[in-house]
Amino acid sequence: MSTSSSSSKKIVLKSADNETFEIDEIVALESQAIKNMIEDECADNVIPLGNIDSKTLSKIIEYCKKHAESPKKDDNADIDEKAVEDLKSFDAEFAKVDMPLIQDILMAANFLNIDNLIGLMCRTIADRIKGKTPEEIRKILNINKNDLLSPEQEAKAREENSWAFD
Amino acid sequence: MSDNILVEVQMDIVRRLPGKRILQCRSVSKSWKARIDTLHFTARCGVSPANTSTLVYAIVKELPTNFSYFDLKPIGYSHGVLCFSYGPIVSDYMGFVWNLSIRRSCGTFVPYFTQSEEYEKRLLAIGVRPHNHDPIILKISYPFNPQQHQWSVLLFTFSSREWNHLQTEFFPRQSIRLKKASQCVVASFQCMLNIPTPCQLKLIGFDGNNDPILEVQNPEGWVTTLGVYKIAFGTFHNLGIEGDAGSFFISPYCESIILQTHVDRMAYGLVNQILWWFLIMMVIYAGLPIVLEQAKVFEKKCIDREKYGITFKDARNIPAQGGLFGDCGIWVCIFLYRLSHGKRFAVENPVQAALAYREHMANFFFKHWESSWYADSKIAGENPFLLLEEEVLNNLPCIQIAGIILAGHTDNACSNFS
Repeated sequence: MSTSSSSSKKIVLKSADNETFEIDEIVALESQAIKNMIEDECADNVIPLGNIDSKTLSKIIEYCKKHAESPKKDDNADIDEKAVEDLKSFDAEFAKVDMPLIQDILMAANFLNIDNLIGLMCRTIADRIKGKTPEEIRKILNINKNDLLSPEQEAKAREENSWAFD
Repeated sequence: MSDNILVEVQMDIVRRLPGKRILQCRSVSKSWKARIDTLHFTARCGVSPANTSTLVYAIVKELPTNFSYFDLKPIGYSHGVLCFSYGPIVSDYMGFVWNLSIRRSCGTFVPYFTQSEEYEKRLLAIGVRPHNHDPIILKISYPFNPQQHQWSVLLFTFSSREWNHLQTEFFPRQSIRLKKASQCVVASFQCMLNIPTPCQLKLIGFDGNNDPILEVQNPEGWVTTLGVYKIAFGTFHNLGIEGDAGSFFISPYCESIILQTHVDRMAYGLVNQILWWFLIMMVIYAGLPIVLEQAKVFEKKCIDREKYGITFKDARNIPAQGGLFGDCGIWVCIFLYRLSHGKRFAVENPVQAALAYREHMANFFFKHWESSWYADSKIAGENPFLLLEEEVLNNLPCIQIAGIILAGHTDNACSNFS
């Protein structure tokens, strides 16, 4: 994947399945983790991301590109509302993917430390589990079986807020 | 990626759910429950405006409680929690907070330096500390006789569950002086509201159209009503809400999970009352055997004098009649008293009669317990107060103490606490 402007510095990201993505440095800087690596000068030409697959990574790059292009709030106090609206509808569109991919993006965003994307994914998951029972939530988020409450503990937890389960 | 989302990140998801859903999530897993049940998580959940157009008025009428409304006075609303004061009886005077969105309430008895109601005027206020979302009840008391007593400012924080004197860290950096003023400043715009009215008004807040909401004193009595003054039309619109003067407040409605870490309907007590309860317990330990002996209960019930024991049980959730003096026990006593003294059963003011009788019985009790019961008891000679302080102040954790107090107060203040 290459970008249109060739003047700026490039960063190459390598996914778990050995696919490489060449992106502008400005796009990569959306990730606090990569920013730190670049600032500490410990980033080589290629940054290997051994726990992120190419499908997830390309989605993340799509997000970072859009957000890097958009004017930042603190840059300009009165950015036009159209840009804000545009970014909002991009985010809404971006989140329209299936649950496993959303979770992969969230994990990768957490690893790469991209604040806005973590927030977006968390909001999306929260919206989707809002009407679900604890049992369904366990399944969706793949909660570890060893971490479940005992039947007595669960009954007690329910009983403490029984109205919430009506 | 096959691994799970880190539990910290999962909590980032959970905190964005509505309060009711968060409570449900406590039963998802052990790690979820453990994390949700922390003050840290309560603070992270923050406060969300549920519906910016909804305003909270003095909503005592909607409070699901068997408290007597008569003595419930709204104090304030902050971060999704309402605060009320309850009770005219000094020793049972409580401040309690109620979180509407998670249906949880917790109270605390308000401390006094003496039990005499007349010696001070008190003000309560509510606030929530922004950084840790800890509700705070503030009590300012100023004595009627400043030569004898001093002004005092006490703070109750729900995280510490204790009343403490105001620390200097909370003082404003500069001294401020508040004057009585007829002019209001609202945020950045300053205006004089010119409202044509013959009666006294108090500005409480503004509605969604920035029209002033006013407390209007009814010409005929003590009751005040809330009304909106429509500036554009120059007319009053009565909101149909009545209450005591000074008991109204208006804020935008919002949600939080403050109080989630507290047991519902918990009443946090005072060390004074803990001491009082232990005192009563010891009096019963000492006095009951004498009563049992004199009434020949041991023989009648075939109880071995050496082997029996007295146990104290937490009597929460026992059936109790509502209302301030609705408990029939006191009326049995009142009728017996009046019968034996040749007085009529009818009383002019039942509340005053019950109040007076209570006071009478309390005086009677404290006058007589010391001389007769302690002198004969097995632990006579030991100083009960020393024993109490050691036990209470060093050994017992706070929650247990609060539970014990609840057990001790089965009358109106606690059993009706909702």
